[in-house]
Amino acid sequence: MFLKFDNISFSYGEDLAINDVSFEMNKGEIVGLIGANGSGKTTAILNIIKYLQPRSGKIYVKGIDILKLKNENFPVSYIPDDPIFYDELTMLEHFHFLKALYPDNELTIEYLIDKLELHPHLQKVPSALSKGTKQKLLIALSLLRDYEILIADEPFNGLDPKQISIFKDTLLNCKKLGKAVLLSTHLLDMVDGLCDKYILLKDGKRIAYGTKKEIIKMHNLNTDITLEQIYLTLIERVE
Amino acid sequence: MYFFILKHRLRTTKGILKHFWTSFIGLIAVSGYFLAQFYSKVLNGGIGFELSEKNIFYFLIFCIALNGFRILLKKQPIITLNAATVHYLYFTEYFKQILIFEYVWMFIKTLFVTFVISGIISGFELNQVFLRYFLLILGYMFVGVLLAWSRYHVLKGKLKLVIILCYIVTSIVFVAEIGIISLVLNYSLLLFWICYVIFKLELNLAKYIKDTAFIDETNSASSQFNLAKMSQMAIENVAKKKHKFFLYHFPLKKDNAVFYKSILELIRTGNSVWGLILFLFLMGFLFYRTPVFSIIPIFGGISALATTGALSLIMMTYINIGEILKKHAITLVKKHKQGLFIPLGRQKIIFSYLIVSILIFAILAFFTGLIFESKFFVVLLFYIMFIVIFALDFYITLIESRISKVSNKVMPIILFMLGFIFFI
Repeated sequence: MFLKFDNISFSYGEDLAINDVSFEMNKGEIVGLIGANGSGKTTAILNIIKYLQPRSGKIYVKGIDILKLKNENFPVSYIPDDPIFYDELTMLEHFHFLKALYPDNELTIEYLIDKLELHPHLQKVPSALSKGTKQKLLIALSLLRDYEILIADEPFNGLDPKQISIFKDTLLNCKKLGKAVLLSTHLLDMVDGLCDKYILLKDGKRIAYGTKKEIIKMHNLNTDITLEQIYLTLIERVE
Repeated sequence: MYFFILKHRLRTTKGILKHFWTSFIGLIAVSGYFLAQFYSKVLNGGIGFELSEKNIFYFLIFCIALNGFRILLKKQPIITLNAATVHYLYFTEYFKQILIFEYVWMFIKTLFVTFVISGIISGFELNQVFLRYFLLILGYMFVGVLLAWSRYHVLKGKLKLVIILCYIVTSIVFVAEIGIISLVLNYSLLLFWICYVIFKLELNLAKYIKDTAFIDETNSASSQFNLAKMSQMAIENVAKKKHKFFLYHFPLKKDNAVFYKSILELIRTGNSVWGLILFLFLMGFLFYRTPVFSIIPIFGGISALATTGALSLIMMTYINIGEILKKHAITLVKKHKQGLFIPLGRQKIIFSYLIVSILIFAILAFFTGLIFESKFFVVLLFYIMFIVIFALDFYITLIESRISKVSNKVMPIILFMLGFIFFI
């Protein structure tokens, strides 16, 4: 097991945002973190990237507590829901800055620019970019790092259908390369069939976990059901 | 409708004045004092004292520079309407009338500036000299306003060339001949450009709405004293400026990427910030080395109080630059924490920023030594002590230690006092 999210609870003051949630990820696996707005997806992710620290439970990467991992060898790359950039750097400068910091990554800047069609925006600063282009820049930056786990929080926001398809291909390529991908979204049709496993969250609690088949079997659902239907049925049952 | 436009403008101005009146009064007092000193001490002017020809020439050059800035360099429109007014009324009959009001308002403002300049030249006496310069400068300056307004909307082509030629010709005649030729030329051109802007000029609507919307947003943030928005807009505005030098022009490697990024951040820090810092340093120099402030009894000359004043301003420059560097480093660490990961520990980040600090403070220490005519080893000792304490403060802030709140308050005071220990 590559990443272990072990009985994590986290609260913002008195509000319990994640309640005793556990899941595991292996290398070469795409895991979907599914839930409505406010279900605890982003909080779970912020715990993995060490922005937040759990109230109880631990997160392990290759058996090591993530809080003990240093910046120099933190194996996570992250596509945040809220774009974060260096305000004063242009898009091309962002690429060169990260490329200098991660010289061992084999992806070239030119490849990413071509693949994500970023040519017209290279000399623009992030505040001058459209929402979709910001998202593409975030994706490109995350791929330029050296990482073993890619975490993407609502990565489809602002992307057009062609870019969504390119991004899905990129994720499948990550999987082929043996990377673990954690994909958080509330757009269920986007990830139906893409992920190997799913974690369904509701109000900070895990309501289902496993492959689609496992979830269907465990909860006695119809076999030809979509992910969206699974989610809605399980939500209804919990309520 | 005109009433509502005026009301909106008054309301915005009222909001800005309400929150910034102390700054405005301070600015007016300081610049008024400075200009009065300059007028009486350097130009030997005053009420009843007409300026010498040489000094009048400088004033004319000032007018030419002002027109040059407006026509050739200024990127924002010289006449600003509310963006919503332009958007909703452009295709109505009212718009032309609103613009004519704006031209008249601009004329009144030019009239006021001209009155002051002519007054300074003639010693504030309503005589023939005053009248001559008043008419001449008014014509020249208002032609400048109309040329700048036309130039803003005309981006290329023959007309742009005509505008620049008009500026060059009127400027040459303006300084070469203070008489009838200049007067006839300026007022003929004035008549032509008035007709042009009223009847012929087509506004570059997209550009004008974009620019006025930005001005509106800035004014609105200022009038509501929305500091977060003002700060974000300032960052974005600085960032959007076109650059000639980019990060990838440096030989970037893993070990030096943050160092070069911090250099670039400093280069791209807004001109207003650097202007303010330069102003502080310059004022420190003027306090200590010139008699500009000598009419204030406690300042001027190399007295203990003049030294105190000068040192305070210079040490404020040091502290401000230190704060800028700290802010940049904190932002980098904060963004890393939020997910914009970089594979470097805090020590490495601190080290990169400290190298930049060492270089900048070396330059500042050199100039401080020159101003106070200090011995080399005194400057060196001051510099070493300053860097050590600054590095400690920087480190405590960046590692978010428990004592960083206290350190952030105490350390600048210690750094500030250091100048007094070594230079008094």
